Amino acid sequence: MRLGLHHRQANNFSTSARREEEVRFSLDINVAFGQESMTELGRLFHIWQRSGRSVGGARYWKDLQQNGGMALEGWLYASLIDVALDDPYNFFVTRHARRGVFPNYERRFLREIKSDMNLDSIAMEYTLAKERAAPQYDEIHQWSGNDSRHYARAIFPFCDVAGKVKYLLFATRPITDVVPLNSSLQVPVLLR
Amino acid sequence: MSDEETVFLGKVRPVRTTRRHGFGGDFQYEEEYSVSDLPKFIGSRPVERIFHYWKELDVSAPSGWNLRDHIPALLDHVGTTADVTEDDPLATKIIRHNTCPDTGYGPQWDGMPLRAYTDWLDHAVSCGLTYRRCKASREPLLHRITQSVQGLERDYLRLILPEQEEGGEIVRIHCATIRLKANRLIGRPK
Repeated sequence: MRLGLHHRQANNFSTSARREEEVRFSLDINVAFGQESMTELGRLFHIWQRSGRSVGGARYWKDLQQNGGMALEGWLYASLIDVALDDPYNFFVTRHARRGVFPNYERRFLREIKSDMNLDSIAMEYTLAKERAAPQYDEIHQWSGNDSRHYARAIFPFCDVAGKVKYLLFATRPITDVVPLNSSLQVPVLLR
Repeated sequence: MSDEETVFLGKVRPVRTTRRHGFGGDFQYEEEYSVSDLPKFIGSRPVERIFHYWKELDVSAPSGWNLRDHIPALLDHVGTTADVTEDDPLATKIIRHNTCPDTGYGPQWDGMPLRAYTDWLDHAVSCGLTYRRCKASREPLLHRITQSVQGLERDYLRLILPEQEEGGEIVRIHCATIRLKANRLIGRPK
């Protein structure tokens, strides 16, 4: 994983056309969490590891509760999504991170997200995480409208007593602040 | 210019771009274009002809899609026909997948749900959700897909067309595709 070896101008696309672009790199979780030990993502990984029995790559939600549970109040970047329903657009945001770009999506369905790109992107990632039933770690770079975002995200699946993935617990870590596309800043792009 | 000849102008701006990099060098780039840009991609237009066939059906004709009888010469350009009646995008079932002339892949996927493509899960989820978006909007969607998955490289244009049944529900989608480059095996797919 190499960061910052290549730069692209944040404003290298005409602002007259709305830019919708996303680049996502999936990384090996063991390598990634070796570098996240001091962050919320790393703390979440340890909680997930200690949370109890495995079902494939998922853990029982009940075990997490019995092992002390997890008080999400103090977390800045952690979110909890109910993915029990089949239709990803009906996944429910039970708790949303207190910091971040879309803090007002708590207690709402994914279908209520206004940005088409964000809606499709997270519907895809949550569906993948639910189907794989395994933790995943991605580095994501998005350009949407007039903003760009660059962040890391970890997703941890938890299942119900029947072994079906019911919740996704995830957290993000901003790598750069949201950068307006007309800024003269150069945005680092991750290369592998 | 023959029907099989394609012209990729490369000057068209996508409305959305997604690039996903997985493990082992796998990647998938999706560029979404306005359907009105279709003539800029296709010189001799097999996909465009399928689009016009679909438009003339007005999609209000129940079970109107019958390319096999109406324009059988274009059948090979319908890469996939899928049943999209389920809410779960991975329960989308492939009704018919054409055969890749370069690799021979395709027919083994007939009758299978997208969930069965475990080695191609990124692509399967992406397809399932894109088909679902087409179903919800009832409008065609145009993408250029450039991907390398499990040792198979593909670069193609895909037009997704919805088909409804009596009552108005979209029950099937048809993907009209044309290869922009020959498919290539660079490794050993599972």
